[in-house]
Amino acid sequence: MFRLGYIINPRADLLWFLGFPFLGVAVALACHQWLPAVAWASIGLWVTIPHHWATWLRTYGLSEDWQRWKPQLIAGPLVIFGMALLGLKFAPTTLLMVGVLWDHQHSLMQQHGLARIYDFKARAGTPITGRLDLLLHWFLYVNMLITAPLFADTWVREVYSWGVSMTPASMKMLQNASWGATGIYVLVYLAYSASCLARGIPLNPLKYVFIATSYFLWYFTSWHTDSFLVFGIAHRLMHGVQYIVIVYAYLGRKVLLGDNAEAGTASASSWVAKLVRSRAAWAFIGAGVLYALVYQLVVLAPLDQFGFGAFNFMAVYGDVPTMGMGGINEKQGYDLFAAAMINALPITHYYFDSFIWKVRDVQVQQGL
Amino acid sequence: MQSLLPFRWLALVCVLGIVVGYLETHRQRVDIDRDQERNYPRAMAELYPGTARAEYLAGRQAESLAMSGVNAQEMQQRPELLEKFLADYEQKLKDVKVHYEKALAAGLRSEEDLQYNYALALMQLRADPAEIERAIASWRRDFPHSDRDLKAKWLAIEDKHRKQDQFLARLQEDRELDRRRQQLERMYGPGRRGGELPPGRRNP
Repeated sequence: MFRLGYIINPRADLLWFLGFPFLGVAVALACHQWLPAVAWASIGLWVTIPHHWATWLRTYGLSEDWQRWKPQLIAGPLVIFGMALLGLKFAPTTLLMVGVLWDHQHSLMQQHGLARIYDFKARAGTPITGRLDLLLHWFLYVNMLITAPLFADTWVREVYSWGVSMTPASMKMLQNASWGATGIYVLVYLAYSASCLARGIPLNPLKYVFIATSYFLWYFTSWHTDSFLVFGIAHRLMHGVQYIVIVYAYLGRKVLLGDNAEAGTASASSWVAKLVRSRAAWAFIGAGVLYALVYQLVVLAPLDQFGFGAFNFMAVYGDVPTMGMGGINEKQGYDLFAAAMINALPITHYYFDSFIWKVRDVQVQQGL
Repeated sequence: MQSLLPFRWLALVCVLGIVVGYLETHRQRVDIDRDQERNYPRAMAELYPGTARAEYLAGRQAESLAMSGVNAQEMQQRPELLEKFLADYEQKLKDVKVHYEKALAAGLRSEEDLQYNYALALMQLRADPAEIERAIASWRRDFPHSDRDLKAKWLAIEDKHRKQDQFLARLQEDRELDRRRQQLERMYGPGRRGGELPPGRRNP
């Protein structure tokens, strides 16, 4: 039998978890069609960087998490940054490979984790369902890595770069074997699910819809002509937004539990509590964007990446061949932006002063 | 020991990273674009024939091979080889252009080198300036933060073409002069002393 359960609620799940992959694909195709390739970096800035912020918010902002995992939260970043610096100096390809492979495992595990919440909320499945789900994810994801042109491009290059001799025919054979093994496992998984139904064990259909839509996004975009751009945008959107939503929901619930508990047991810091209360959703999003802005400034990356390539300082002042004038370069473009900022801030100050300092205003008089 | 248990996964990643990093510093370098056995563009072309990515890689490989036939020393000693080299090079660049155009037409836009090298190929082939301008604009639109300067490249390539044309014109002149000198030598040179006269001339 089927039993429904939602990660948040029917409407939120439909938007963020079940329907969002389709929206992600549509946005990615639209970006490919109408926006410059820099849109990929913009999505990273608007979504991926704030989704890291959501992790810091939960780990360092929730006192319960901080107390539980203090050693990892202190030593982890030190070890990782140290290893990254060493990797950058001595073995950059290895550092890149570790980053890319861990990113894949992390993406797979996020979808698996969200799928597990569906079973948890519906109290569905058996004790081995989680393991079989995880295996399903591994089969589907690794098959995509082996067979999709987007990822084959990377592993074929790396296999050869590391001096491994492998003919294209044997690569093709490996891909066929991967399809075969995945097909067989999917059949086993379906048979197991059918047996659960036959035994009267409840299953949550939304979990299967969620898994199917997630893999639709990944498989569809990694076979696209410009898979790097389209997959990059769609995947970052799905992964980042779903993560931010689940962190927001999780923190909200924790704050609520803290509010209802006895004094002194609230698990979230007061500033986190303020940030995640249901009416402060925009504050939560705004804080993430602010974090992205600071990040971009720290790494000295171009700020116009926020604009999906629609705002390009250098395009504004292009060549004027008739006057023998060339366009502006990156540095001059940034100077122009800085000049605009320097002018905009005083202008904002002029504007505010034009209405906050009226002596005829009774409320202003009270302050004088 | 118990307190180190939470770090086991991070430790595993670090150990694996160190092992692979050590292998990276000791691995042999393979030119995967030209190596016969481990040829990356060929493998991609066989795995995904006709795709934009395969076309781009084929174009990049053809471009690299086009330049590999240059023997600067030999060219200096025998400048007459330049014309033949340039003709071959132009033909190869035309092939490169076809591959790049197929990749672009299929919709591959996120590969900066594709757009950049396509514009360079057009410049090398002395394509219509409007076409080159379009290629540069397209590259700049997609990669506004690239620190490469195609306009400067274009000026340098045009300068190279001018010098090349002047050199070839001088070569042509030298050849013409040489041809005339040989003709005159045949007519009046030492070999002609007391010998036959050019056709239509009689001995006085």
